[in-house]
Amino acid sequence: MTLLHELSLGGKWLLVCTVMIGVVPLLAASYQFLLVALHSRTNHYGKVDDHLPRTAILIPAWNEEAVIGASIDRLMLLDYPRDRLRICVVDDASTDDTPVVIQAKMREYPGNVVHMRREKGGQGKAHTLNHGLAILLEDDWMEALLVMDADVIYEPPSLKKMTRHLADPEVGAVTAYIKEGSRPGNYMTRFIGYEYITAQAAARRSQNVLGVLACLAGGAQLHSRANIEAIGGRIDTSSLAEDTFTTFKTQLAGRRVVFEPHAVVWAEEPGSIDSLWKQRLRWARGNVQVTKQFRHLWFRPDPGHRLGSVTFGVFWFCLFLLPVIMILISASLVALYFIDFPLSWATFHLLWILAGLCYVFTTSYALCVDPGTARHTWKEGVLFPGLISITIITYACFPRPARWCIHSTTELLGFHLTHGEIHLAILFAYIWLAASMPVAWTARLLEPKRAGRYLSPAIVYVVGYGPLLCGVTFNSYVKELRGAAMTWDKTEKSGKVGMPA
Amino acid sequence: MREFDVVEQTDVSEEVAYERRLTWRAVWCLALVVVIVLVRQRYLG
Repeated sequence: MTLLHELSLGGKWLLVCTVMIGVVPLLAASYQFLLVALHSRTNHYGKVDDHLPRTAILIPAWNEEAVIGASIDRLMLLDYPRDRLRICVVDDASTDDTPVVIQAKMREYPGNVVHMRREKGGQGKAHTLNHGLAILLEDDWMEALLVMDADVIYEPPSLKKMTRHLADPEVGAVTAYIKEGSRPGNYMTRFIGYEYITAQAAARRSQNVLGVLACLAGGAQLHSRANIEAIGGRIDTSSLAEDTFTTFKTQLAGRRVVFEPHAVVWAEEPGSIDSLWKQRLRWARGNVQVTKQFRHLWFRPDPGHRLGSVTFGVFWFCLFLLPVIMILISASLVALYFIDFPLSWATFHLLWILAGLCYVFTTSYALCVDPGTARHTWKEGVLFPGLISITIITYACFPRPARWCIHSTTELLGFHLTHGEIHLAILFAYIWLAASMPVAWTARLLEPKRAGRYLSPAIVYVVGYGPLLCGVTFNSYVKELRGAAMTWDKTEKSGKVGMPA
Repeated sequence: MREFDVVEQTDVSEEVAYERRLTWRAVWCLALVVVIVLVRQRYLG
């Protein structure tokens, strides 16, 4: 009996500990935001200088006739000496009028625009970039390389703000703050706009403080020539996350990577769940590949770089393993419910109270980090975890007023919740973290249907954009485990991106 | 040694001032969390 009792007690506390693993990503996110506050002290501004290296801007383009001309025009408006700027468009065997548009721009801006044509295309962005890189490295004109996407818009001072960091020979690459710029936008682009405050403006500032960057934004990465040569003169083609590979290789080669939050680049991001799912699945699969490829780095501090630091490892794996953690929490809570209900209830409360406090701090601070974007994305910021999770947080943090609200509502509607119904609601709350991912997936399934026009956005607001992204990450595990083919699903662009007036 | 043209000392005062404001905003956001905790403990727990 004693042994059985001890085993049962041990099992219970094991389940409690498993639930409390969920606290780690919450604390990691809060710590990451606290580091943002230190960016005023620990940044790279003390080592910048007005350097104007001869910069080649490399643009991979496949069937970009709608956007490439305007892109080149805007690049020529950059606050940067024209004789130090060369726009090299790598035309990835486009079948539309992209080559014609580029040739016209070559005539308009002689000496500033170069057309690099690939006769065989469709192999992905990294191959396209490598074609251009090989040509650029043939002579010594290029001192710095800016890799960007065809449709993004650089604010005029942004390139100068980036190149000044290359004055420090320790810096190998610089990235900018990509902002969502679809005009007109919709609910999805507003969610992405808010997400980019957290994932770029905030997270990358904190990575500046730590001295290690997870990823150079694909649409805004500036490299010194020395860095490009040090990483082998080419972009990795073996994965779907060539940006992250380049970022890791740069830091492994002993150079720093810096995020410049005041260099702003506007990009058109997916406006539908399906398009977002495809884009993020590519990114998430790329992250799985990076995690495997650099498995010897994690949690192994090295004097040459900070990729192996414990803090960076915790940040990386909290995001990478979040879907697994959510499933584990739900499974443990349900198991505890049947073994020891009062203990499960107390654990559930503690988890969600901590979630509530972290949510208030990270959301309010994220909105303060970029008030301009927050002005039109604050609703999506507040509803980022979803209406259901916010209801659970409210109940956990303020049980007395929440119970009063439920009691008043049911009384007003003329019914009373039975004991069984209350326990069903509790079980629903316990499994919600795991269930939110498949429910978010139904929003994608419904989107092409007639009812999906209204239903899918409603589901995203109720379930949350965060769980939607976790669903994508979970899908990426499945695809990688099954060894699914790596397809380069190019995000469809309409050229409707713009800078605010 | 890299041979870039140094034009003049870059003025980063605007950027540094913005980053300082962010530090203060973090303090206010933390204060908001503390207020919520106190209100909960005293009145709504």
